[in-house]
Amino acid sequence: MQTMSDKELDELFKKKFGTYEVQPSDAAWAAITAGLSTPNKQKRPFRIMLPVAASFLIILGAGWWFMRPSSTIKLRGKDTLTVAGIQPVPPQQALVKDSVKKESFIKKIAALKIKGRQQLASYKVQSEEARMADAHVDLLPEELVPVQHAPARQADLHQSVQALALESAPSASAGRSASANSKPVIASATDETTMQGGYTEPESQRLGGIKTVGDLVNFVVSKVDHRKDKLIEFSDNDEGTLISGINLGVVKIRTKANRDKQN
Amino acid sequence: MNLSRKVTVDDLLEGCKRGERRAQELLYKLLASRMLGVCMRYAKDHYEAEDMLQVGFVKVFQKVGEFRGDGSFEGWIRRIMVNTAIETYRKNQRMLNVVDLEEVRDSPQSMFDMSGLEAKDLLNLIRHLSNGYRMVFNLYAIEGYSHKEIAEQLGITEGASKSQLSRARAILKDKLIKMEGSKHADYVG
Repeated sequence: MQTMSDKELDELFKKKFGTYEVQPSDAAWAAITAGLSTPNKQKRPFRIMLPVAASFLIILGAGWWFMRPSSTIKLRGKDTLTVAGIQPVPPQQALVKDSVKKESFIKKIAALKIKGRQQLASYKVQSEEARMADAHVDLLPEELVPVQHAPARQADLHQSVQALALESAPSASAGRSASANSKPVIASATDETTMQGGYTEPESQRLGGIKTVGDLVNFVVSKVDHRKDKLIEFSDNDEGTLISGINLGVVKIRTKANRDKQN
Repeated sequence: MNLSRKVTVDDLLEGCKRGERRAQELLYKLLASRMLGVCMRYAKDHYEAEDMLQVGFVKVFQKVGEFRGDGSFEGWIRRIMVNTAIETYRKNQRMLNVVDLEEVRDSPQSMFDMSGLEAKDLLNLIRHLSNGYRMVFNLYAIEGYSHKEIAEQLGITEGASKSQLSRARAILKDKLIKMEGSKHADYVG
């Protein structure tokens, strides 16, 4: 025994325990049947997953709610809605108020920051058309800062709004399918601008004046962004085309040359 | 009973898969004493051994549908008992963090022993080992696990498994000598 090898030791225990039996107590089977009757483990992972899944959905929903676009930008149709640069509407525009639902955060900031100018009244006209004709309008006129208007301009506005309201009524009922009447391209903004002697855009923004990539970008941006300070502006100088201004609503950057040009 | 045991166990498989309580009870009656003998080697006392037996059989009846027939049904049940013992050991290690080194305890006389004195003596020797030594010795020497498999099951290194086995063997040999010496007065070392 003293010189028993490891193998002999293992074999001894294996042999002796090979047929070893011990009678369990009477309560053992009862405990087993009780364990079979109450399966609770399957519910646990589900229970943990429910609040986790709910939290995840709430976060997703909140993210979607705050990040969703508050307005629709279309490239065709009189029911096109211009976005952040919508100008304030004088209280007399009661027609417009009814069709507006709410304003995005960015547009509020932009509206507060934009200083009213007479030339920008034309953009208000267009946006008012859009608001009346399109169900997806998102502006609260009462929250917009009033613009300094010449009385004559206000009268023009009022007439234009009424006229357009009459015109666009059929197209509003037809929904998005635009009739020939209500299908102006964004270029119509430029047309109305020139008609009303409105906002003086850089020459290159007319179709004929596009010479560089920056001019092209400026043209596209001008059709979409009707604020005074565009989302992004390019200017040409001796060194080539470079960005002269960026306007993200809360952040506005302009190069010195651009500022001097505007002021 | 012994003549038809194997056949009977296999016959009860289908009934157990269908969840028939009668088949389950018959299977339990056929194998409980042998499976408790397995659990007794792993547990530190009789009560813990019966806990392992109950948990093990509940698992057998819940998972019987997973038995694919590769090997004997009894062997599959035995592996479930061993796995239950390992789970109990790991749970105790996490909760108690107690290392009971080779303390000598007077084990109570077993009231249910059926297969002879020597097995009971060996059981006492094994129970004198610490939990870790006992676990490694059981898995290697009696179940036939490799050190790699033991390391994976217990969450230790292969080196730790080897050293614990070596230490367990040394202790068991020492105690066997003392036990034999106490039985045979004229023992010559």
